[in-house]
Amino acid sequence: MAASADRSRQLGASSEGSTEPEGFAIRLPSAQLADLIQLNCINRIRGAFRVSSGPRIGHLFFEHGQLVHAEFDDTIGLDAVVQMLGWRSGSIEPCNEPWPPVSSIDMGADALLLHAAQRIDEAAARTLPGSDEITTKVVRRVDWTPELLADAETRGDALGPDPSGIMPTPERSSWAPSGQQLAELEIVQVTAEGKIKKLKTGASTELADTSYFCQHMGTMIGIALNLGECQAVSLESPSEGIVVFKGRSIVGTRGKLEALEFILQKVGLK
Amino acid sequence: MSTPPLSPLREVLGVLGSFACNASGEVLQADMPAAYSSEALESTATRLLGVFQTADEGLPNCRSVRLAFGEHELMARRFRFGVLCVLTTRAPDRQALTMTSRMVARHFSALNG
Repeated sequence: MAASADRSRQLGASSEGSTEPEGFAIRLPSAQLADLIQLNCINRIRGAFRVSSGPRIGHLFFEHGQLVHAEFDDTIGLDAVVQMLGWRSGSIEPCNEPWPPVSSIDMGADALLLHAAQRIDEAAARTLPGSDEITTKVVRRVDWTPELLADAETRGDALGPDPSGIMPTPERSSWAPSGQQLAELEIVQVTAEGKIKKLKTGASTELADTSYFCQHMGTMIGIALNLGECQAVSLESPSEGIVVFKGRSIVGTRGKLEALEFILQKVGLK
Repeated sequence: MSTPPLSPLREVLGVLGSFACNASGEVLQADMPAAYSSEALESTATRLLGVFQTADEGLPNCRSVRLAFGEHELMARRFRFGVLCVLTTRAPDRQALTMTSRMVARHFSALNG
């Protein structure tokens, strides 16, 4: 597999007296490109990869656990990824393609694949009504985590419901937010040290401060009562609310109670 | 220490215990498992009041605070006398909890003015 091959070169270079790279080259006929992208990101591979499918050739560049650039013909970035994800078969292997001067992609693997899946869904809805083979392969890898919600939201993407009805499983449909739902919420992301990472949809620094303080108080209460880590805090007035939950960072959301329902459900406070 | 005003909450599915504090954070009565010391309840009450005060700045008329932990949930609801806090499992009977809390709060307000 591509990821293993590249990692093996890195490992091999550091092994004294070894002329052969360590690791395995693997052929996985059933693997999907989305899986391989995720694998390279998880392994924090740095390198260029050639993606081939018949006469079509594209390139992917990985660095710091992210896919930072993609190119195929005249397209780059997410557009190129979308095209390559649509290929039904092919291969991916390390190559010596020159490193791009600038990155065309700036998001984690999950967010990237989610966005790509949405593009593919939209394209399928326009050109291939009733076809679900491509989208199913991609979206099954995407899970709604607090971080992903924050990432997707702060990038301002319209995460509308899957028009083909394929993506949401019954339980996920209660969590996966629509673009409208997200648009109705103020969202902030704060680091564990209290620094504001992101503000979105008119969110104020006050919400960031409130979120951080509430999460901190929740932690202190959890310690005092021996309840473990505080996972979420919900503040409610008759019509509005603030929900704070903790992933790798602290996410605070504020909005009408109806708009917060899907978050309350996700954090188990509904 | 079990007291009559709070005891109806024990009948609600998922409720593990409860306590009430006034607006200054002083614990008025508690019906909590023995493992929880009065100091722990006092500090919790003080922190919950801090959360309410902070919430007031950005969320006027904030009436309730709920905190989710691994296997527990802590609900705090403002009433005239102060704050009623209820410790539950993660899946309490929420409707019964809301109604019983109001009933207990009315009783409590009558007793504590």
